[in-house]
Amino acid sequence: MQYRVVWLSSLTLSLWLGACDSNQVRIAFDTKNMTSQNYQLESQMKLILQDSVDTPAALGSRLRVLFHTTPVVSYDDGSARYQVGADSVSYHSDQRSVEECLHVERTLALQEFQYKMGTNGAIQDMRLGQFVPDLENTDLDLRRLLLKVQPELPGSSIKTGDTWERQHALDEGNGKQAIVYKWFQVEDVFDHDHKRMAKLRMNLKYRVSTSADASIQSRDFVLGSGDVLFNITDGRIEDANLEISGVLDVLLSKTTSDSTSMRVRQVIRLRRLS
Amino acid sequence: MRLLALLLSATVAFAGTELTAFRGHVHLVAAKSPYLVNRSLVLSTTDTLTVEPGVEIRVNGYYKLMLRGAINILGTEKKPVRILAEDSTANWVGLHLSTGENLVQIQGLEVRNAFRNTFSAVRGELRKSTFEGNYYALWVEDSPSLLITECSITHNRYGITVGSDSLQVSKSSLVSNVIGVWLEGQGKIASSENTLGQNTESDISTPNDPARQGIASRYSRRTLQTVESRF
Repeated sequence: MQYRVVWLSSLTLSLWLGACDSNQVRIAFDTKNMTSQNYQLESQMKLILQDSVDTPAALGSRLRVLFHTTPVVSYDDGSARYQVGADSVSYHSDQRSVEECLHVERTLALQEFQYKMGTNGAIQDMRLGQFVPDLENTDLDLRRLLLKVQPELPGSSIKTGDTWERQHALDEGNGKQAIVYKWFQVEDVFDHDHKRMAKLRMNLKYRVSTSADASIQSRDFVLGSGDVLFNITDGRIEDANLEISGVLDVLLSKTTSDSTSMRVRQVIRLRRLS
Repeated sequence: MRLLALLLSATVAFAGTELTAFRGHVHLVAAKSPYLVNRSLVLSTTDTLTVEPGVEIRVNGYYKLMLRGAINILGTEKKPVRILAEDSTANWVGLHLSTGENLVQIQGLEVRNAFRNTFSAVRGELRKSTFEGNYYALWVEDSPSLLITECSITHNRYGITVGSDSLQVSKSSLVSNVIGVWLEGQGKIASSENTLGQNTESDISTPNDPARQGIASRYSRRTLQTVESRF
């Protein structure tokens, strides 16, 4: 009898431990798969003056880009190099004329760049194509938007509730970089349409500081929060949403030191199409 | 006979030189003109560009000529140097000069169909040149040592835009644009013997003009656009 109780307890314990182990999953980007992927990226931005809560937004813009990523080469260390190009761009802003909006669309449509990515999603060496000149201070940069929503995975097995932190650089131009701090948590692991999926919570923070003519600084950290739906089976992002907001101090005149502040809110959504 | 005609037409279609890159001492000559540009080109800070009279550069697509090195453009009244879109109904991005300590000597230049020609931190002279049919004919920033003289700036959306610092303009004509001179927040213009008139919306305008009073009148659009770009 005693032997049976011990045996049953051991069996129960084994089953319980086995169940715990099956909740551990290893998530990583598949950098060996050499097929192109198509994505849609949307970004909406509102600049709201801090002078008065009753005044409408000072700037509202909406961007939609259809782009593709094409693997260029796969490395022995598991990383791979990818080429990104826009297939179609649609942009509207109430602070740009029709011709200026067309200019944004055209420059984004011509923007091609490459980057190196490891299986953990860490992106390095992201640079514009050889014959694409530097962007101007008012041009939009697809690279910046993608870097914000890109998750970095822990590189080890994880389970629901696990958290990890990562950081990466964001190019500010003129040789300056901002550091983006990201925090992740596994919210759920589930099966969908015969694929294993992970829903990740992602928070980020960074500071804005530019030496452009308007001299723009974030008063404190710019904060973002969102989620990523990661396809564990195929090793790729299916969907990512991020909402970022912060208060920027803008120097309007160096001679008079006239400055103001504005709240900026940006919503970015990345969705895999095929 | 038909084959010969076809071959001839193909040859005549583009008799010129494709300009694929700026490297070292770049010397463009009339004998090899017109030059066709099929991608954006960059002249680095250590390169130089010399352009002889009569040279024509046609930009075939929405591309930019970014020039950072020393520049000598030597057009004349009878043989100007022309930079324009290959397709006259289309635009190209424009010239972007950011030459710093490198000297810029430009005369007899004609620029057409560009979205924006930017002169940023440029020192030197722009003389007897024409800017026509552009959106922003001349956008100038941080260039107090640039002298614009005897130029014709006409039929553009914005004639001269001064983004920051002051700009010297003399003996030039800014007529028949939509806005002759647009002064951004900190921009100033030191003007002498210029002809400024017949500009459709205004001869000189700033974001703070009474006619433009509105919620965002305290801020230039460029400031807001920069915030959007850098956030």
